[in-house]
Amino acid sequence: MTRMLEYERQLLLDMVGVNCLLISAAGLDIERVMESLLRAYLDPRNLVLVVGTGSEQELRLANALGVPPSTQKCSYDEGGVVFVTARVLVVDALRDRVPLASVTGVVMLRAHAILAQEAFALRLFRQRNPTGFICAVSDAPSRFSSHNVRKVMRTIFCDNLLLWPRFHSVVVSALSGVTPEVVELHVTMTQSMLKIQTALLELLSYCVRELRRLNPGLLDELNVEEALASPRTLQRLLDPVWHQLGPKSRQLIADAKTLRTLLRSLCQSDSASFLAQLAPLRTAEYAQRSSGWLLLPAAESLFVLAKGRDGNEKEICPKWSALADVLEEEAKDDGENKILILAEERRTCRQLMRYLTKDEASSEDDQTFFKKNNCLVFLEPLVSPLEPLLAAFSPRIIILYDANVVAVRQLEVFQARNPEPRLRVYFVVFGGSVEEQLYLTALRREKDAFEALVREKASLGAGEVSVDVGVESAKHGIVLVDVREFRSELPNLLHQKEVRVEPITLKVGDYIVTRDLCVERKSVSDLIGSLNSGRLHKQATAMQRNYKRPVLLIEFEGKDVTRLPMQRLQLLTLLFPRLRIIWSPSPHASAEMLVELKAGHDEPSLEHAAASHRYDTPLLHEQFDTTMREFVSCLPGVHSKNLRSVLSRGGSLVQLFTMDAAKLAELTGTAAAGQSLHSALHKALSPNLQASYVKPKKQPLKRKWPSKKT
Amino acid sequence: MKIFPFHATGGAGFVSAVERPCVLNYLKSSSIGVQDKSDSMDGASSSGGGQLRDVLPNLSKSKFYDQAKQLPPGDPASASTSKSSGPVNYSALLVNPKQKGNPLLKHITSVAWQFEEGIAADYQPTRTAGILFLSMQYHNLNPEYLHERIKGISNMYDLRVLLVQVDFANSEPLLRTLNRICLLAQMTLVLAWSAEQAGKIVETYKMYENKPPDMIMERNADEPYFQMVKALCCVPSVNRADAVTLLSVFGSLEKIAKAPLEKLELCPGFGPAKAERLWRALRKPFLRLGVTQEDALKAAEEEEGDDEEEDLNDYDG
Repeated sequence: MTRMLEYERQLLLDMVGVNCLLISAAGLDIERVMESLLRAYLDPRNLVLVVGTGSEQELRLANALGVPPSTQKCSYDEGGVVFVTARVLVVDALRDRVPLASVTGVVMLRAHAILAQEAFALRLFRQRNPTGFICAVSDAPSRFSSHNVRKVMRTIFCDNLLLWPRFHSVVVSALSGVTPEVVELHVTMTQSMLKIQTALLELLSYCVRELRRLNPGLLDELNVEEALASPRTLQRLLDPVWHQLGPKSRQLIADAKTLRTLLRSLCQSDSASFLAQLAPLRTAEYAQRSSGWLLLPAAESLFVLAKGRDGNEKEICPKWSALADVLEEEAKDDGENKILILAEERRTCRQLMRYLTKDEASSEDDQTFFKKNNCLVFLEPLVSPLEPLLAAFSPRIIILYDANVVAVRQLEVFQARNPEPRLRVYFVVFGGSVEEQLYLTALRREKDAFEALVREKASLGAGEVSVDVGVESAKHGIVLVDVREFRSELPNLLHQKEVRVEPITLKVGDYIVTRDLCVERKSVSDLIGSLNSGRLHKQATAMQRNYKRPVLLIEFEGKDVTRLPMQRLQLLTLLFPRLRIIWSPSPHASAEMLVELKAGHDEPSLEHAAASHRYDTPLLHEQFDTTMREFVSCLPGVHSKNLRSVLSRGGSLVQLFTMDAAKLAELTGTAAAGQSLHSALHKALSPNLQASYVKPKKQPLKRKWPSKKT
Repeated sequence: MKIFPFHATGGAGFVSAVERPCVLNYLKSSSIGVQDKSDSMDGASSSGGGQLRDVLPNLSKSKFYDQAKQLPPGDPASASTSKSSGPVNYSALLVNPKQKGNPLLKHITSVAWQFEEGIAADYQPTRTAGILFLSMQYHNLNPEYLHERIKGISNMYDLRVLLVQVDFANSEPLLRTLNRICLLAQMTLVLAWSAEQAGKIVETYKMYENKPPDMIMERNADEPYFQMVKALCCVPSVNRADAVTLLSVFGSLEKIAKAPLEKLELCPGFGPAKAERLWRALRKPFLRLGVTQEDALKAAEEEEGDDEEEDLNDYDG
């Protein structure tokens, strides 16, 4: 372990044992600080809970500390540091399985992503333990708007905001000691590249203009720069209004993303790959789908220029030749240097590999290094954190092929921690290009975010963040809540309304409100999905069978109403005339409704529930990867009965491919199922047109639901 | 904001004079002012009704309107039976004449409908299903109307639908009351946000009279191709079009899963991020980190004989 930097030491001192929200600049590597902090609590006399979501950051941290991550079953008995997901913590707290009163403190990673269940966990902790510390950290300042930071601070019940931007004086002085020698290589774009870039920008601004025209008042903040930023930034901007956008707008957004990808790959790859990327956009299928930018003159010139560029004399990316020059220069020395080339994407690494080794036919995709004279040259995609990579290769020369703020920061930090040897960093960037612009925008965005946060901190008076944690009581009785429901906001709100929330694995329904009343909660998208898949039909059947008063609770928001699957819902009401529907415009309204429904009725009976439900079933989603579980459950031959067997015995898709039909029959339970799974895995599949011709789908009087009232 | 003439201007008077004298009684006892209002509006609404009859002269049931008006206030049930003397065409959607002038009728275009005096509900798509229509705006002014109507249809149908048109700005408190009323009165609440939508809802109830439940039931015997498309769509950010592309480019799942990242990236519609996500997802072990095969299988044994329906909608993170 290398020595701690000054700012890291101070950060640690600031954080130990106090309530705080820490927001640091990306790339400053607060992970190391967190590790030191948690290491101090690795003692059975302490119990520190780390609330995580199984993120990569958390896995690394848990691994470094030698404790199981939150994806594994945890035990609070032994003390020390325990990683736990918010959902498990909430359920354990409600069942009195975790000694919250004697917990030393709670650490919250990724504070920018605090959701309902995290908030619930923290509130339960605060109610039962007024003294333990709550420490939340984040390295994504741009995710905190003024409103958001206050919300997060209310959630964690503290007003101590710690800000550590790159321009913090301690950070500046710590990183200015030994700095890497930076060589900026401003490569100029070729004429055709510049023209293509202009055309792409023009098309992008068309998309943005159209978007704003179609959605007056909704997307006023949107501009080309925003559209160029990372897709995630754009998505965050759009999320609040996403459901209000029509199909045309959504297509425009998809097109803007496509154009953005093209702009990036223009800077990264050669003419041939760029042309290959354009190919799918020229198809009639895409033309039909796209929002109309293909009809603009700029689109035509884009295609013509790209084609011309890839004509007789193939144009290679100017960056490539610059890179080759640098390598030539550096490898001239007799010393045995190690050179590390970092590119954002694995694909670029492979392209560079082929170009630099002049080995077009190279099929070994895993080869990531080659020898040049006495030098070893490594090609790696940019990862975060960079430190293990740097420590493993210990290169003296680093070439940043793509401009990336976080990578630059990490190199600075790495150099400050390891003053010897001094690194030489080549920074290859297209001068005056979108690439350079994006880099500067990212820097500015972070700086702006921090400045806003600093102002927010100054305006944050003492005691402004309310520390009202509410009381825990069962004034309004008990509601049994299915453990899977703790992802939603409703259990938290019920608890706030002084209802005792009893987590239980429910086979039928999501909430048992009274002895006879069972509620299945659905958001509009859930409603659409479960009506289509037949799940709601099954759930309604089960509720009707087990409870006198089955209720479907539909949570809808504003413009959701145009998406409601009315016809299917009506069919459901015809089939289940006893099923009541509660329409709720918000989780708050739902909570109020449920509390109201309890009045004057018998409490839900645990015995009755226990007769048809069972406590503590290990759930599929706790043991299996979510994506693959869903994936496998869709495969032919797999159904709800044999899913667990296929998943646990199968291991992974790769392993499934190696199994023969007999083995798969063993997994699925029947020979027929095994056979159909086997052929689905290996046989080429195509839509059976003949079958659909012989048996045309019966669709009498098919009518589209009126989407909007004119 | 549009208010239905038969509701907003003369609704209460109209309703009470024809069939529901108890509403009138209630209004009399509760507030003179309201009664006066309803009396004065009665005339307005009758004339409105007259205009409608001129427009639709063929409606055989319209003559009962005046008869009904002369009936002594009393037992509404006997009044309604006495009216259903004519042949009732139960294959058509039956509409209570009280709904004359409701703009939603304009939007019932795909099924035959006729006015029928004898029905208790506002709309009767089948013998066992009755729909009451309520404008939220109207309910806000006349909350008692709904109670009387509900009394009138209790025990009359298996499925009692309260179709509420949300045409009131501050709908939340009203919605809450209506939710509660429907639970107490054992009615199914259905919301519409426009007259058009309301009309389509009424129409659909008629059209779905004998509809088998297939549309909302699980389909197991899908073609393997479509099942595979569905499976690929489970990977975040892969949509239907992507799944179709993958299957047409690579053929089989095995080839997709074993394709190098670079090949995936070249598929139309795939950027590096999406390609990598798919590539990673297909290589992930099924079991989460730290869960052993034994643990998972032990849980499987416990689950035996248990047809637990796993909620597939729980997304992580």
